[in-house]
Amino acid sequence: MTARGGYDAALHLLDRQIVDADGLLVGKVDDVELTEDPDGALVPTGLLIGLAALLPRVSPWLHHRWVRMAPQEARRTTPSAIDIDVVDEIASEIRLGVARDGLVRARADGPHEPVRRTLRDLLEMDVLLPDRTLRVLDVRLSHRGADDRPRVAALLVGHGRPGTYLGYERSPERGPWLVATVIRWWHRGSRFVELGPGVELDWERRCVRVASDVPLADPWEADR
Amino acid sequence: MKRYLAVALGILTAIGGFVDIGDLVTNAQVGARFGLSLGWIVVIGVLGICVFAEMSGRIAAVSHRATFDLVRERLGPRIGLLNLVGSMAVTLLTFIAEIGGVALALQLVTSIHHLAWVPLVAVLVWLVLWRAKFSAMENVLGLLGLTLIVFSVALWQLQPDWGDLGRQLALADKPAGEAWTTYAFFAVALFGAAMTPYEVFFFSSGGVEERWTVKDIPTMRANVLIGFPLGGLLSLSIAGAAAVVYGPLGISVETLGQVGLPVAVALGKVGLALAIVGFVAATFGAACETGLSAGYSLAQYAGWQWGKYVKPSVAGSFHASLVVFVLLAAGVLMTTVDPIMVTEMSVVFSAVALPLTYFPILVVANDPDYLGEHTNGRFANALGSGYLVLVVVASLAAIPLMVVTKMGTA
Amino acid sequence: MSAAGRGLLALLAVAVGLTTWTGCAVVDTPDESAWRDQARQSVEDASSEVQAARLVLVQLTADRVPQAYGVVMLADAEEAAGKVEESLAAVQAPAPVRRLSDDVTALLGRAVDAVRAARVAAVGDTEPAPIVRTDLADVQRQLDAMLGQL
Repeated sequence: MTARGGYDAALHLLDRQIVDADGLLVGKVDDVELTEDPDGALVPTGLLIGLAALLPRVSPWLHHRWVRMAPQEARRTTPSAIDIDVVDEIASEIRLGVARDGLVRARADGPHEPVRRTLRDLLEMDVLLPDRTLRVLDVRLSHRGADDRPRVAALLVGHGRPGTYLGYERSPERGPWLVATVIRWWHRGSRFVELGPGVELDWERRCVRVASDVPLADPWEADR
Repeated sequence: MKRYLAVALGILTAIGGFVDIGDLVTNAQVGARFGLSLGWIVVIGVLGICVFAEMSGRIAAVSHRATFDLVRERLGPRIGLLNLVGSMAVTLLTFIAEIGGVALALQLVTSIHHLAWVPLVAVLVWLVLWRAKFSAMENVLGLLGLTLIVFSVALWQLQPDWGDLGRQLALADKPAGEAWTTYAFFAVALFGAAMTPYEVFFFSSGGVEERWTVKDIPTMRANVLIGFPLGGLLSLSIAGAAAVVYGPLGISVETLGQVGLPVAVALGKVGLALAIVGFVAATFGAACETGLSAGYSLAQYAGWQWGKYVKPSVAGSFHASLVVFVLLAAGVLMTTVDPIMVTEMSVVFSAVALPLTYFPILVVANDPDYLGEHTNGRFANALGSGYLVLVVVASLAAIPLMVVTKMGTA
Repeated sequence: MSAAGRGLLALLAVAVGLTTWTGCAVVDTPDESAWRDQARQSVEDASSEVQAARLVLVQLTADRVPQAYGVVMLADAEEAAGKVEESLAAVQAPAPVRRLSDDVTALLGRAVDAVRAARVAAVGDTEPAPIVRTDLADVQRQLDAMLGQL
């Protein structure tokens, strides 16, 4: 994983294969759990696995029907998780430091537990810029805090859906020319929004408000 | 020395494993009807599968990711699911056709009706999927499939007018009585027969099964770049033999028996026996490959443990899905559907579904996060982009052509 | 109207549209040129089966094909020829060509009989009577001639 710009949650985490300490396959990262730190930072704390995490991303309608078939089942609405602490390495697969048996568990949060969000919630948000409305395409995580935990540092916003960048914004010189050109054209209006003063995440209304004085970087400009 | 043997073995199995029921039937049909005037499509299709398989093999060797891992990672769960449904439908259709093909080949030897063979063949296929070692399965069936070389010998023995065949091949000379739409339909069908998506699922997942590493890339390339084109020559021989024997008589090929008869005309019973061994090995081998491929794609989308490199009990969901697929295929065949018709459908829908898997492979083959220094070079990308366009065109044209030409019968 | 209502209406419209668009009648009633196309195709198909049967018989006689293989091929040819005859017979020929249609149907029937005779000879494990081969050749000539009339 390239260290210079951190990594992108949707591109590098979502839908990746999880492999346990013995090399056995555990599942796919169907969603990522983000926990709000007391200082307001969003920190990835778990990998969410199972239909309860996957179906809403495939089709919210389908997920709703599935929940209605057995409304008494909490696990149809609340996905189970693997704690991020057991992750050893994030490469073309997510390698864990422990064996897979009995690993995926539901969160048993008490009343004083921190506020938990999911990456999907963040990825579905509208981004209200002063002059237009865009969508969150990806979420950049980087190590900026005092500890070595990665946290959400910036949002990649633009038109279309998460993942449609196919990783091309990370190395603009990548081929083949045909695909790179189409993607570059398709996402010509996209921007980086650094989280900080002037950027407000509204989880209730599912939108991000960006003040007019927040600088917007062009992801195609090579140096970030 | 041992290393050269391994390379030679890989090439031989690639040749023998290249041909399946779709290639057998489509090439003989086209040969009887169009001579070698569509042979250039076989050449294009074989080059295409080389490009496609080389990329996915390289990805499997460097990053240990098989095709459907990448489909979901790059296209997301929604498009990925559409892709999964489409690809699995085509792969299962091919699986049904291959099992039917084995049964048809056995019917030719015994004159016992092919439906009576279906349950036995299905059980044998499942046993191989469940028990056999991956490399044993691939090598034995691949080597037995090599007996199809008898078609090349037969073509030579038939003493055709080589100049005329060469002219047809070089000039893409469409027979006067055929419409351009029919010609185009069979072009798409041949393309689909040469570039079936399952070959790539199987090839890349096989690379993971056999634990390829960067060191295996040259071996993998030799298998693909030598084995597949030689397999393509087998396809052309089948078409050529059908063209020489059936063309002048105006016979159209509708059965597996007709595919093999030119060998008997040229070489008699011994040749025919070899051809039938080849039929059984090629279709049985492809049945195993397609069955596994369907299981691979489902498991790779869902993230289940898959593969024959672990014990079946460790990959429970994967092996359960294989049981379901075998039952499904046997059930469909027992409805007395004609396996040859299923084959014809499967090659057309292969062409339809191809871009879904081709595109993500092309993108990832350029991604240094996966491949490091082994990303596509300029040449691979030029070819890859050209084939991206070609694959999309064939996919869009397939269904309209199928409707207009009524599966080529109009 | 509610979204669900509109959706239902659209579904109904598509279903009705499909029924009328495909509009397959129980009996096919083509016009003359369409019938000629169908008849020509049928005669070509039957000719292909007759030729295949002849080729197989020759190989059987020369002992270049195992009996089982030959029998399966002849049975396939017989079945296919039967289907060709049936499907054309089920088409309502337009009035001007009805005589011609009867001739074609009768000829297709002869073709099926000839292929059947070949199959009978092969299964019987006797040397196929020369008459079977002459019959096939004869029908083949007539099929070729019929193609000229269509």
